[in-house]
Amino acid sequence: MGTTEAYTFYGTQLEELTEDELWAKKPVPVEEQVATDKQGRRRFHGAFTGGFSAGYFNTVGSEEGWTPATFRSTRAEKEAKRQQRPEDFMDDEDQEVFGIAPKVLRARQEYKKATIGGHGSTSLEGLLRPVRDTVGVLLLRRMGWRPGQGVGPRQTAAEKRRRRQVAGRAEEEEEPEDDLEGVTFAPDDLTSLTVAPKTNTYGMGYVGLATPFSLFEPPKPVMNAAVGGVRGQAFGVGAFEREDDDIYAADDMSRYDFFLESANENRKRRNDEKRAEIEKKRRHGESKCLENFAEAKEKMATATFYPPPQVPKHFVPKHGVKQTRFSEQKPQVAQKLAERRGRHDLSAEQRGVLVGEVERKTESLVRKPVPVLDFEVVPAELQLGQFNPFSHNPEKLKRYQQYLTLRKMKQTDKLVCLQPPELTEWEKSRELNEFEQAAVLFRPLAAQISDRFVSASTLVGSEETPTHTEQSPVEESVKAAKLKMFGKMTRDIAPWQPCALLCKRFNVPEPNSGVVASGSKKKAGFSVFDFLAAQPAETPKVPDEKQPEASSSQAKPEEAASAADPESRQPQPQLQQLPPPKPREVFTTEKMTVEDKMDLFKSVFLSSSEDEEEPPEEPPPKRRSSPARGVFKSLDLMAPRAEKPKVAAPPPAEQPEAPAAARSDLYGPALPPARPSAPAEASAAPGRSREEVLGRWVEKQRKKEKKSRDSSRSRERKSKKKHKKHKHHHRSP
Amino acid sequence: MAAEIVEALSSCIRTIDCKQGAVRAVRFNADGSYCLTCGSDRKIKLWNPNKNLLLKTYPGHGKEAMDVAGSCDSAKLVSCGADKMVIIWDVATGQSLRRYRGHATVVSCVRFNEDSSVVISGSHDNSVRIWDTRSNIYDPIQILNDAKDSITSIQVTENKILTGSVDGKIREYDLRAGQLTTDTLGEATTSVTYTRDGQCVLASCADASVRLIDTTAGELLNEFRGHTTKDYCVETATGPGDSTILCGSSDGCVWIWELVTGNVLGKLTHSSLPTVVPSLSINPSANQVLTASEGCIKLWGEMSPEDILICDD
Repeated sequence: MGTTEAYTFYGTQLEELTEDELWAKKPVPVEEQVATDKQGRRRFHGAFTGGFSAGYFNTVGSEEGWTPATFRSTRAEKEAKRQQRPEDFMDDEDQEVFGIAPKVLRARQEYKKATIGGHGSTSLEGLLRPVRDTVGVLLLRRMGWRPGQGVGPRQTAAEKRRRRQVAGRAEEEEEPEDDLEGVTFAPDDLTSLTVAPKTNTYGMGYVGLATPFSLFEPPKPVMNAAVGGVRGQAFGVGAFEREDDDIYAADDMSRYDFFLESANENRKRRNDEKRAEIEKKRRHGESKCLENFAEAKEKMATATFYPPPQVPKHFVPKHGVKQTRFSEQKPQVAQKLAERRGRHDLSAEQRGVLVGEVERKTESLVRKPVPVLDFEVVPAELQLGQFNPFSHNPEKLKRYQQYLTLRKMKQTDKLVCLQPPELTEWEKSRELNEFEQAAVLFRPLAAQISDRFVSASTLVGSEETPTHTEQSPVEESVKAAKLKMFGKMTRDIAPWQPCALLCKRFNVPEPNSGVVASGSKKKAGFSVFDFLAAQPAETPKVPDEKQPEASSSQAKPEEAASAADPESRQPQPQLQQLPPPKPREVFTTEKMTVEDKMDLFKSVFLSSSEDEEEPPEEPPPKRRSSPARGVFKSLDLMAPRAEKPKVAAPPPAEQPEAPAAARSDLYGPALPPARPSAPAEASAAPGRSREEVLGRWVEKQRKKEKKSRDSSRSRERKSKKKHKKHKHHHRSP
Repeated sequence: MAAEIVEALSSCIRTIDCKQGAVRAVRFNADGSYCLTCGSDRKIKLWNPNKNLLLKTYPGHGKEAMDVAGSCDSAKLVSCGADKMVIIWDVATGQSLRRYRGHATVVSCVRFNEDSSVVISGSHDNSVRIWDTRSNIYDPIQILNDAKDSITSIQVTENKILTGSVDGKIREYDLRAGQLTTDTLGEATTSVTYTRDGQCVLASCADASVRLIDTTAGELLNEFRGHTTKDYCVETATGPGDSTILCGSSDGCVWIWELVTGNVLGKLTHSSLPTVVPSLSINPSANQVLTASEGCIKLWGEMSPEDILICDD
């Protein structure tokens, strides 16, 4: 170790060669020595086998093939447009120190060229300025030197100029006209010569080939085609020779002198010539130009003037004011117009007179029987304070009044006789339509309110003051309630369609979801017109009329069955002769279609024997068959009945089975017991005897019997019911 | 059994002066531990009636509050008032969450449905409006325009909406069956409610009677008389256990009848003066009844042991 420490080793030690190897290893001949890159690939080839090699066998691909740059939509990143650089096509080793584009820190081209020395030319000098002036500068200042001036004795202007010319810095621009005598100037400051360091090995003064043009310099005037866009000289000019002007490259007449005088003399001479010419002109009176003024070289453009057009000789000036419809007519013109009666000014009657067919037409109109009516009574609709739709036309208003009177008597068709004969048939029917609409719209307030409210008299004193001549069905149900005849009489069942969202919120399936609701969806939000629209078009009696329909014949079959059950179970003697539950034909149209379908279904799929069988009744209401619960579970039924026979009995679930067993012939669930209070109250009710109650039921039966005869009355009722049905649909969307 | 209940109810265990003008309605919440009052001073108050504690006040109605109801989870309230508005309140913060405008006049009664996703309000404009609380719809999702006079009370069950109106009819809207059943009572109905089994409807009428109507057939099962109503709207309810019927009266008492017999079992004398008892509420989980008359509410029934201590001081 001690010996080795004394040495310092540089480089990599070659491995020792054994004796055998020494001879076994042949030196590689020069032609077989190839340069490889880091990866061991051959980079350089012979001049005839491809030369310089790059990429993957001189391709841009790889062993797997050429992989294009991954596609990226330019829509997302439009601004980040990829610009290809030479480096993209280089390998890493190309950019290393020994590669073709080594990436090392080095000065840029402009800094390479930067000159050292010179006055204020280098950036270095600009950067490093002394804080204080040097002693030399201070001394110079004391002696009267100023920055920017040269050093030396003061000179006259001429002397200064001469020196400048000698130095080759003569500026032609400054041209002191007059040399003031006795005024001396400081000499020019001389800048030390800027010496550019020679960085190349060219001959002295050789510039080399430069690029033909630069963007930032003005283009050279003319280029000789022979030069081929290359300026400069291919071969340098010797240090002792002068460079010739390249007369072929840039030939311009301005380069030639045409006078044997200096530029200064030339200018002076031209000025003198001009002045002499102007003087001469002025003298001859050719120029109006004032002294010291020169005539403009270009004439100023003057605006061209066009003369007005020639008025024809026979033209007479006259102005006529245009007549409009609204301006006042001249009296004579108005009179003339009034006298003239055109075809359109004549009425149909007058035209008829002219044509000659008057007699017959008027005759026919007159012959029509005009109803003798008392039109003197002003209808409530037209009384004071009510809005009047036809107030602008008194004739029409009168007719409207007549119409209202006729309407009350339901003889609106007779209005045609009252309408003036001048009106055409179309006008007449249109007026009738107008009246109809107006009568619906402009009803007195009382009528509107009566639609929405039930008057107190119908509620409280329904017995003594029946407002309508025919018995109102509302009263009937109220009467039934008064008589404590609750149940079928007081109950009205109508279909109602809850909206889809409501069903969703209540978590129930939407009923009749298959049936398309006939009514349009109602607009949400409050509006007084809702109330107006909700009113039926007819008189306020209409809602009343629907009541008995609903109470007598049920809207739905299942409901009918449930309602029919208690009825048939009434053990009261007068109700024994009740008709059986109404046949299905009475039900609504929709239901009928369903049943029709069922019939069809049965006729196809069931045997005829089954068909003849009575269709099974709906299952009895659950409540009847289930054991007592809720309110009724704690009841001792026998005890209260024994004590208080007047109080209504509890529901019949707990009733002893005896009556049902006794009437085993009856079909369906057990019948409820007689309600003890009912007959007593019915008999006690004033003005309504048992016969009357009975009569009502009997009447229904009769009605049913009459059905086969298809009396007009029943048909009418039926149609009414259908009408009502639709209305219900409409109201409960 | 009914007599026992009456005896239990007959003791007034708490009297609270609400200090909010006339108390229009008093309501227990869903589990019966709190109660709500709405007064004529336009405020709604939340109380713990057992402890005589005022928990929160909900101001925000423009006119007097007419009715209030708590949601099933007691997180929200819904109230209505004479300002035609239906307001949903957040119980904890006291902020109004939604305000529904659409009624033309005084909104007299309001209820949540079972899972409190829908609010149903009845008004003196004869309409019942159904408002959705979940979606962002501020218009009624359905309007029930069948009534011919003011709606006085609403009762909502799982799939039925029961309304009572001054035109003397009670209407039952069955969502499942898609039908409207109208029962004529012949007298202006001031309050309707289902019995707990849902088989019967209890309706108090303006002719000083309470009627028990069978929902299946519409028959009158019983009628309870004896109290006076004058022209007031009084509420009726079935007592705890469904064996008794309670109804407010204009003589300052709440009358109690036995459901089956119709016998008068007793009276809860709210005040000795003949003032009307317009509202009463049955505790859904305990044997308690709240009554309201004029400016104060009274709690009747049994007291839980922990509350007795507070009662002493």
